[in-house]
Amino acid sequence: MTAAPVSPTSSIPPRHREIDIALVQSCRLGNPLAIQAFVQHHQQLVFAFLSRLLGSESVVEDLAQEVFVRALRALPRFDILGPARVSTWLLTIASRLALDEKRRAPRKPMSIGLEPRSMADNNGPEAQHHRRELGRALTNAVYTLAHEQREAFILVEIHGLSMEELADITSVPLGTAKARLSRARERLRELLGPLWEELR
Amino acid sequence: MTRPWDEIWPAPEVPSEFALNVLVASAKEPTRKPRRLIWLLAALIPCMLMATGLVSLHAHQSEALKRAAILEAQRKDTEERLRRLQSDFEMANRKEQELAASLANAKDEATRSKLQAELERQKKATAAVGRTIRGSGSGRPTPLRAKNKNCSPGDPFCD
Repeated sequence: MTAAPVSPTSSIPPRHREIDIALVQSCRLGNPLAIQAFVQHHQQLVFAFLSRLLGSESVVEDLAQEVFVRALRALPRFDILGPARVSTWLLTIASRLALDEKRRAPRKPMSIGLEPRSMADNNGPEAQHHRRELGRALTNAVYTLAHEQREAFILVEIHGLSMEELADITSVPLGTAKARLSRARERLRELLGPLWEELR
Repeated sequence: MTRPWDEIWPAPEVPSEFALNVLVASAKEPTRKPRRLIWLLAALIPCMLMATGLVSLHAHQSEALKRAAILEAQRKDTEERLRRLQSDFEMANRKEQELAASLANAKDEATRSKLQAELERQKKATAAVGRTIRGSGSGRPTPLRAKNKNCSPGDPFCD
């Protein structure tokens, strides 16, 4: 028995796809409200990815803005009915810009020193403290990884993308994408020890 | 398996005016187009210069080939002329020797004076052919040759 080929869009809830299509079409017409809605719809994803990849630097906001400006410029050429998701496409742009930024100004990313936005408080202060410690250990370990490994880990483990999407975004063969993620996991396991198992 | 990443590794808040900033920045975008044009021109100019250089190099090479072909044809023509003159000279020389032999064997004075006049004419003709051969070089210096011991007097090839 052979499995039917699964298209990359098959896992996207139809409602999200409809929103994407409607928003993109309105944005193409230059509707400012649609553009704002488009940005608001995807901004959290882009911000989260860039800040986790580069650290909490001021450059994140500028880069995120550049991602959207480029996306809006290229929107007329984006095939909304094609296999690529808007979010994946935005992450591709963000990934390339982050790489350019890293090449332009190579530096060690700073550990994220952000306070959690809305941490679930129902576990009590001790659990909260533990999670914060866990987060600090994780970010410190992630920032010891090479840029490509860090990117693979963030996209797949944190943003939940598939291997195929990782390969698409980073423009590398599937095998390379898998190897990067595998190396990243291995290194984090070494660095975090028992904490790694807790994270999993 | 749960992955509470947002709790463990929170992402920063997006500034409230971010979408508006993007809208303003994208509205300013058309002003960037001339910059793209400048880049395009900056890329085109070296390409055009390179193409012109290649074309002129090609033209120069074909011109040089043409010139070489003309020179080769001229060289062959000169060689052919020289060969003809050599043959003429040899023939004139032979005739001169025959006349000299006939003169030596002549019995009567009338025949002797006639042959003598003919020999003088032939000597002049042979010398004229010899001068033509010496003057028909292509302008290049004649390569030095070892002196031939069997040269006949007046032979232009035995200087």
